[in-house]
Amino acid sequence: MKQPLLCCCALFFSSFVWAQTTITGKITDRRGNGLAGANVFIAGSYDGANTDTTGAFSFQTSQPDTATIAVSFVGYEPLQQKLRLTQSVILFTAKLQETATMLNTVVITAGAFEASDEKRQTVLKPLDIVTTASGGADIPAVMQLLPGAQRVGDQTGLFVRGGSASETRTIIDGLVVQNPFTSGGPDVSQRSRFSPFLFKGTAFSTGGYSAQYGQALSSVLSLNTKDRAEDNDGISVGFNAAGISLSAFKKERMTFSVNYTNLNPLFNVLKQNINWIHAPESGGTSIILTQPIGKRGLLKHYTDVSASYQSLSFRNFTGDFRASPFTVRNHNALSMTTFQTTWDEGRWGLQSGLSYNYNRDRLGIDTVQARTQEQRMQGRVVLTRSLSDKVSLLAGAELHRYTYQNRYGIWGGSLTDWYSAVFVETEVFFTRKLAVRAGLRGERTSVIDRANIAPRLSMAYKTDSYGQVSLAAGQFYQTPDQTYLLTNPTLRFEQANHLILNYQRIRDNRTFRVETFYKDYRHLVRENTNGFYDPNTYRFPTSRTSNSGFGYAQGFDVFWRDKQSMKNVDYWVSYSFLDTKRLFRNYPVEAMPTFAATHTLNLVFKKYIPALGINTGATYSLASGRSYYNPGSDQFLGDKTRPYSSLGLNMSYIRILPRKFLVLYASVENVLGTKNNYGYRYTPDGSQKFAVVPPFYRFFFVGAVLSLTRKPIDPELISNP
Amino acid sequence: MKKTVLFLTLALVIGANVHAQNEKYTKAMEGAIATVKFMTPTPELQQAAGQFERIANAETAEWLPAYWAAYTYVLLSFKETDAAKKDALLDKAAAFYQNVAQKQPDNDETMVLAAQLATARLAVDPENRWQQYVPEFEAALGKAKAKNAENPRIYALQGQSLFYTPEQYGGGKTVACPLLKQAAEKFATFKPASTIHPSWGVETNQYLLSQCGK
Repeated sequence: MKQPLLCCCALFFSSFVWAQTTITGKITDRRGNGLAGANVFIAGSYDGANTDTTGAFSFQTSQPDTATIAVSFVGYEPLQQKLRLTQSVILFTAKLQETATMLNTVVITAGAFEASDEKRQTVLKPLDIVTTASGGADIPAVMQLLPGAQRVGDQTGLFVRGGSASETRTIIDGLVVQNPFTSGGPDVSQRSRFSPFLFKGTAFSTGGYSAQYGQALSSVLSLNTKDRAEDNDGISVGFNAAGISLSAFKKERMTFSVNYTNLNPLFNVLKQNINWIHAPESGGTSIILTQPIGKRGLLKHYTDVSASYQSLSFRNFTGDFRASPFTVRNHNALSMTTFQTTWDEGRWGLQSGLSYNYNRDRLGIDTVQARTQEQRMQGRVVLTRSLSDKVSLLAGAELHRYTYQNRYGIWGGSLTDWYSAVFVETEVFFTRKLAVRAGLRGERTSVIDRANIAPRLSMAYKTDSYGQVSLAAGQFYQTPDQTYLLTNPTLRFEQANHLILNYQRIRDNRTFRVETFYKDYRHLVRENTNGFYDPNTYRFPTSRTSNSGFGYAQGFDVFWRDKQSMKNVDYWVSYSFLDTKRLFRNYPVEAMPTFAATHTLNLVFKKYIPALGINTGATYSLASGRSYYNPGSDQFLGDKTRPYSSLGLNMSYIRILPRKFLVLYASVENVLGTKNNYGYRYTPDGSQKFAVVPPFYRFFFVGAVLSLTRKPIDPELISNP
Repeated sequence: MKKTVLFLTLALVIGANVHAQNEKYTKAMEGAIATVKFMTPTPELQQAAGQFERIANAETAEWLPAYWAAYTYVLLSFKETDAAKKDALLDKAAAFYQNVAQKQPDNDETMVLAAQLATARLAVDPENRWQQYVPEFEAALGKAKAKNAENPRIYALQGQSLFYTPEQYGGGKTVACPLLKQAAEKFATFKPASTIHPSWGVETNQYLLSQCGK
C-alpha cells in the first residue's frame, strides 16, 4: 500500500498544496511613471492582477519553479519574461514601451495640409470641403482659406506663397491633371472641374514636397479618389439655381453621372458686373468604375468628358477701348486607369496608372481668333518597400507625352515634349520622435533637351505628446511655359529652392500651427521687351526670351482650429504674411506680382444645430491690397487696390428617410455687398481706366440633392451611443 | 488488487481535478461578468477585462473569455473621452473579437459583437466614420438576425442606435421605441446557455424603454 499512498500524496500536493509564491512590484513607462490598470499575470494561469494607480501590483501564484510572467496594457507593447519562483516573495518590475501609433509617432508636416479619413492627425476632414462657407464645395476654393494660399478673385488657379497659378500642380491618384480648372473669360476665377465627392483624401502642399512630385515650383494639390462607389444601388438627382445633375450608382462598383449647367436664367435675375452675351453653359458626363482584383488589388477607372460655352462683352486692350465680344468654347476630356496592390503582408506596395488628358479652348477676342489644344498621355509606376517599422523605401518613374498647339491670330506654333522622371525616397524613423525623409528626383524633357536632378529633404522632431517641429528643404524645377517654348526651345528649367520651418501642436480637437518659409526663384523666363509693358494676359509673347528672371518669397503663416471649446461649433483662423518680389515674364523691373497680397486673413465658422438638423457656416476673408499696373505711375506695379473683404454664409439641411436622402442648401457670397476691386485696366495712353471687379457684388445660390436607393439608407449618420 | 486500487485512486483524483478546474473556470468567469456593466467605474471594469484576458490566456480552447474581454473593452471605450485612447481600447477589443470569430464563426453572438464593435468605432468620430461603420454595423446585425432572430441583443442594439440618432436623420423615439420593446420581449424569454454565456443588454434596454413614455 506504500506506493499508491505516495502517488496519491504527490498528486494531491501537485494541485493543492504547492507553496504559494507572492509576486509583487511595479509597472512603469520608459520614464519610470507608474502605469495604472496594466494586467500582470502568469501566462497560462488565472494568477495575476491589475496594477493600482501607482503602477504597483501584488498577487499569489502556486505555479512550480519557473513560470512566464506576462504584462499587457492598452497602448503599450506586451511583455513576457521567464521567472524563477524559488523564493516565497519575488519582486518584479518592468518598463513598457509605448506602441507606435499616430499619436505618439512623429509625422512630417512641413508645408503640408491634409484632409483625410485614414489618418487621425489631420487638420482637415473630407467633409470640410462641402461644409465651408465661401468654399462653394470646390476643393481649391477651400484650400484658399488655408494659410499659404492667396485670394486672387480675378485669375484662375491656386496661387501659393507668391507663386503664380502655373506653379501649382493638381494631381489625381499620382497622375497629373493637365487642365484642372474650367475655361472662362477674363477677370473671373474659375472653379475646378472635379466634384469633392469623388475623393477620399486631399493633400495640399505649400512647399517642400516629396520627390514623388515634380514640375511645380510652388505647390502640389494631390487628390485621392475613393476606393469604392456608394454602398447602395440607387440614383441621385441634384437641382440648383443653375442646373441639374443626375447620378446612378451600382453598389460598390460604378458611379455614372451627367450634368448640365446654364447660368443664363440665374444671371437674368441677379445683378451682375459682367455684361454677358451668353452666360456660362456647360454639360458633361463621367463614369467611375472600381474593381477589386485578388485580395489586395484594386483597379479604378475614371473618365470625364465635358464641353462649355460662354460669351461676354469685354473692354479690350486695343486703342479705342470699346466693349467687344469675348467668347470661350472649351472641350475637355480626362481618362485615367490606376492599379494598386500590396503583397508580402504589406511590405511591398505597387501603385501604377495611365492617363490621357485632352483640352481645347477656342477663344474669340474681338476680331482675333485664338485656339489652344493640349494633350497629355502619361504612365506612372511607384514601388514601395518597408524594410522594418523604422525604414521604408519608395522608387518610381513617370513618362509623359505632351503636345501643345497654339494659334493667336496670325501667330502660333506647336510642340511635342517627351518628359520622363525617376525618383527615389526613403523615410527613416531614427526614434519615434525623429523622422527624416530624403529623396532625389531626376527629370528629362525633350522639348528643351535638358535634364535636372532635384534633392529633397524633410524631417520632423516630436517635442512632446502633442507638439512637433518640422523642417523641409529642396530644389524644384519646372519646364518654362509652353507659349515661350514655341519661340525659344533653348530655354532652361525654371527653378525654386524652398526652406520651411514648421511647428504644429494637435491636442484633442484643437490644432495650432505656425510656419515660416523662404523661397528663392532662379532662371525664371523673362521677355526682353525694351521696357515696354503690355498688361494683356492673352497676348502672344513674341519678344526675345531668356532665363534671366529671378525672385524671392518669404513670410509666415499661423493657423488655429478649435472644434472643442463650444458645443457643435468648429472654427478656424488662418493668417498669412507674405513678402515677395520677382522679375519675370514681361516685367521691366523687379516688383511684387499682381497675384500677391501682403496680409491674408480667413475666419471660418461652422455650427451644427441638432434640434433643426441644420448646418450653418460663415467665412470672413480679408486681404490687403494687391498691386496693379498703372501706366502713368512712376513705379512699376506701385499702385495698390483697396483691401479685399468678403463675408459668406451657408446653410444646409439634411433629412434621411428610408430609401431617400434629401439635402437642401443655400449660400450667400459677400453678404455685406462690399465693393471689392481687383485693380484697374488702362488704355494704352493711360488716359482712361476701368476697374476690374468681381462678376457680382453679392451672390445667392440654392440647391437640393435627392437620393433614392434600392436598399434603405441607414439613418445612423450621427449617433452618440 | 493493488493495481486496481492504484488505478481507481488515480482516476478519482484526476476526475476531481478536472471538475475542480471547470468549477474554477466558471467561478472566475462569473466573478468578472458580475461587474461588467456600463455603470461600473473604469478601474473595476479594467479589473474585469484583466481577469478575462488572463482566463483567455489560460483556457485557449474557450471562446467566452475572449468574447467578454472584447465586450468589456468596448464598454471601456465608451467611458474614455480621448479619441485616440478610445481607438487604442477598440484595437484591443478587435484583437479579442478576432479570436472569437476564429472559434465561433457561425455564432450569432459573434455577429452581434461585431456590430457592437462597429458602433463603438463609429462613436469615436461619427461625422467622418459613418461611411465605413454604418454599413458594417448593419451587415453584422443582418447576419445575426438571419442566424438567430430570437437574439434580443440584435433589437436592443438597433433600437439603441436609433434612439440616439436625431429625428431628421431618421432616428428618434418613434422609430427606436418599437424596437426597444421588441428587444424587451425577447429578453423576457431569452435564456443564456449558461451563466457565463452572453447575457448583457437588459439594463440599458430597460433604461431606454423607460425614457420612451416621456
